[in-house]
Amino acid sequence: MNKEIIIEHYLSKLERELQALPTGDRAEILTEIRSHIFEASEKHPEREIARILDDMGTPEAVAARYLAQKGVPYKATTSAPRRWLRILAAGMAGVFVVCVASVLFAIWYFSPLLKVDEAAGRVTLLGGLIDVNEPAGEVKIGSMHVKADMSDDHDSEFSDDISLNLGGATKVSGGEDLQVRKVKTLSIPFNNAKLEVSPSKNSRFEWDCKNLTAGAPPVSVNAGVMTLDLEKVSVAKCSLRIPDGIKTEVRGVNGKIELNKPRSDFDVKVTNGKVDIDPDPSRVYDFEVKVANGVHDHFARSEAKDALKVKVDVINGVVKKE
Amino acid sequence: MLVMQVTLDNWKVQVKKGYLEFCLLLLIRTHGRLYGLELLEHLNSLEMPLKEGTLYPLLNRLCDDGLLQSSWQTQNVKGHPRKFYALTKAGREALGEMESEFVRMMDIVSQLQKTNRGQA
Repeated sequence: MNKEIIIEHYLSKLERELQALPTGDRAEILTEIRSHIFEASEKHPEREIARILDDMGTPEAVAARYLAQKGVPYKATTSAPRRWLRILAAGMAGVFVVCVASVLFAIWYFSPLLKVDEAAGRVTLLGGLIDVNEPAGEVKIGSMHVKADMSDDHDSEFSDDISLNLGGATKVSGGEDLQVRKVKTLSIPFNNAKLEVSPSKNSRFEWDCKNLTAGAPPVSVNAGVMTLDLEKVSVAKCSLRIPDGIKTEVRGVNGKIELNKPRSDFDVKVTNGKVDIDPDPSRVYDFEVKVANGVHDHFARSEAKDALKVKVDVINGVVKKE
Repeated sequence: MLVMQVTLDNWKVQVKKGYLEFCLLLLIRTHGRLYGLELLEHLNSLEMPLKEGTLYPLLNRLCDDGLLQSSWQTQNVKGHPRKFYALTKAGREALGEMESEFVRMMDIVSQLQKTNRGQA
């Protein structure tokens, strides 16, 4: 009699672990396993029921395998005593978090995490780890030092005025005819980059890069959107030429983006860095510029129908008008 | 040596993974229809022991994949229905392919062994 209880206890645990499966499947599995256990026990009466259940494995392990076969993610259910342990552990973790938070607050309160000196055009973050020095035209991020040449924009490659410490950099250029490729939108994710964006003279999207990692940045097209993945090449210094009217998204961490006389809609998001915009006097723009931790110049909005929408979002940094 | 034993055991586990399904299907083909316990007994006698908790989900998956079909026997089983497994047409074809592939692999192995002896 005791044997039956043990078996049923095992099976009810297994049933619980299999909750994610449809009722019919679950019922068949339980029937098969139950039959196995009973028949095995009858065939080998000398064997302890514990051994038979051991051979089967824990209900959790067995259920996990069934669920894995069905492609269902497995979530262990917990019994009451274990649930209490979890609540207790969560409580202790909560107390710990509060302690850590207070320490962090104290550090923040007392140290210059963010210093903005608007007059001098200087923004320092994280005690100097990120340093945006507007008058000197310099952005320092960690050990990366980007010094811009403040003279007029370059149409092709960077001159030696711009010093980005790229030791053994490789030069990579490429281009795609967006009309031929039926592309209406460009997406340019980046990670540590200096991008100089200008209008293209035709329907070709072109890039001229110098990057630290060897190899060309991957280009892919999906549903009318072309992606030039600069995230895959670390520390990129690129000159990009965008055909008119091609909406362009530039998103990334650590960088300096220059929009020179944009003739398309832009959506720029930068965490740690700087965006310089030199508007084309012959075009009307609807600017939406936001900066969290930093400063930006005033950029006008416009309701005009033919206004180019330029959206810029910077966290830790500066947006300037040229 | 303990280290070698661990390495060998790991290798066996890896090889077993691919080999196991193959052996299961062969067993079922040989006997036509088999249910869980029978399969386990055959595997044991072939010294290919497999944990019950691994076998049943695997059989389940082979059914989902269309290589096996199952049928329940409810008569004469003392209240404990048995789920029998047999090969489907697709299962027979797949097994045929596995056999060809396996022969090919054994061929390569014996070639490699010959080369080794030549250099010994």
